[in-house]
Amino acid sequence: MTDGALLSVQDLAKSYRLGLRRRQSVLRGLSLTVGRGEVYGLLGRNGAGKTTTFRLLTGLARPEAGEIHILGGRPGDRDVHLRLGYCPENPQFPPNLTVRELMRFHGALVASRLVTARNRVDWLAAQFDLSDVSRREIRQLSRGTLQRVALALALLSRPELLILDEPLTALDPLQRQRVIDILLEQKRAGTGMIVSSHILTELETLADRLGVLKDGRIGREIAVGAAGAAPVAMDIRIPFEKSKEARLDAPDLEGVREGETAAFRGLPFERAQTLLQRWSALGIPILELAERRELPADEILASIADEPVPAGAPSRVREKEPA
Amino acid sequence: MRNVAVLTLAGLREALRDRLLYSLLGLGAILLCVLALVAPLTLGARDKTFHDAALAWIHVSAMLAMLVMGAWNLHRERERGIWLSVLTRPVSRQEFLLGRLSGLLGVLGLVIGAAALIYLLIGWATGVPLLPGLAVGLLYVFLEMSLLAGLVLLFSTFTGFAMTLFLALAVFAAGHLSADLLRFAALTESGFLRALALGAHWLLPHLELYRVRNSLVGGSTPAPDAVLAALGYTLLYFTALVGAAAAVFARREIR
Repeated sequence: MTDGALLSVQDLAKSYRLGLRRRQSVLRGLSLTVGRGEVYGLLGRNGAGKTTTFRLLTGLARPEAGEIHILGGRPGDRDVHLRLGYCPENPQFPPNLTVRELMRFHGALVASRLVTARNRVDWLAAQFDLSDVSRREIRQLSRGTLQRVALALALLSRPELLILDEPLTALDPLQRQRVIDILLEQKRAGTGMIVSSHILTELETLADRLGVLKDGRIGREIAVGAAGAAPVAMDIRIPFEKSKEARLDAPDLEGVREGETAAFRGLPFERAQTLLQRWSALGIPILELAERRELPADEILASIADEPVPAGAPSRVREKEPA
Repeated sequence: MRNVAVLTLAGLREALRDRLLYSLLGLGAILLCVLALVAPLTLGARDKTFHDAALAWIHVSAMLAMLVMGAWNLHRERERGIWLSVLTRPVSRQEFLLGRLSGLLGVLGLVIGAAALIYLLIGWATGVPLLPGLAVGLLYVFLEMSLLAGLVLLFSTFTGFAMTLFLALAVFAAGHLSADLLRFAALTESGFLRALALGAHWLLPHLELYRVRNSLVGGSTPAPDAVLAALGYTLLYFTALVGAAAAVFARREIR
């Protein structure tokens, strides 16, 4: 196992039976690692094996070959499950339970890891904007609300590793930003994550590394923000008490309060430089500074596609619609 | 055991909000009311007819609850992936199965209890005297149906809803004929058929053990040793069913 890694996967193989004689090979030698406080983005076409990978990591399915070391144990171990958070793709829950009952039910299952499960449930409900729907039954919830419930449940046991299968699906733009902020907070606290998504911009914000899953293995690994690409935006964090002062010359500047800090995300690079100089002159401490570099989208698309896609070319040639 | 208790409570809470449960009980109440009104037409056998039909109704309600609520809910949960969120918690598969089964048995107890209450209320309102040995009769229904719950659980670990329903009903029906298999084994001259009949006899549940309705309505209650024997047999067979279900489920991949 790689030193310090929360998750280490080596040469994983898995196939499914199709009928009596045929088998479809989904994973063929998948290897990856995720460290503490690291977010690994898993990209790939539909059916590439992302969900299968997650099922293997959570012990819901067994690999045919290869090794998985997760949180110092094996998938399916009780202690591993206690320290793991999983948000499945298209989450489903018992339809007749209310949101509060469901969260308390899950809280009771991981109670040994929490000081008070009820407080944790209430706090997460507030974080994910679920307090208003807490008395509603699951069957009455919209798809987006259900997704937020699933994410809240994934964070319930204060996990050290999060496995998130399309976590931002069905969320509106505001909810999406809120969830991204919560996940970034988890990342700062040292939680490792493996996240699958089809939306590059989401992974660009969250992930440290991207793995392109193709032909059953990681075909290409890309470090987000790697040298070579020019920085396009910056994330800056300052103490909340200084935010008023910081915005004196920039009243249009929009930030998000995160505890005792204020975060300004996605600031255009040139503007961020100007602000940093001004804030430095004012003596405003910079608590966190992160550059965002443009992902090589064309290269990623080419890695995912079955056939090479020329840079800048449309991803698909549209045929004329028949009359 | 804590996880089993948590799962049982969640299962019960969910079942209590299932409209099917109330439809089942409501329909039964209407049937019993009609029966109470029609029973006097039986000329002198009113009480017996009422008790007989009421016990039969309790039996059928419990059976429908296990087949429809049990098999359908398990199937729905599996197909929709509801199990995923629980099985990725620190819950072993055995605990999960036991929790689901305890929830089912809780529902069974509720259905039998509620149906018996309706029966008693209608009987009281129409002046039908209380059936001696009713508690024993209800216990026998519970024991028999808990075996059906075990069968439903076992089959639902490896097959779909329709097949679970078919297999559970087939074994249940054959279980009522297991004594005939013994008679057949004594009569047949073929060694192979005798071995087959004897094997099936010991493999199938001996459900004729629980056939006490006629004697109860006729006024005789099963002897205490017979009740103990039925309890012991149920416990043994039920444990075997749960063990088999746990063995299958432990190997199963959850999609």
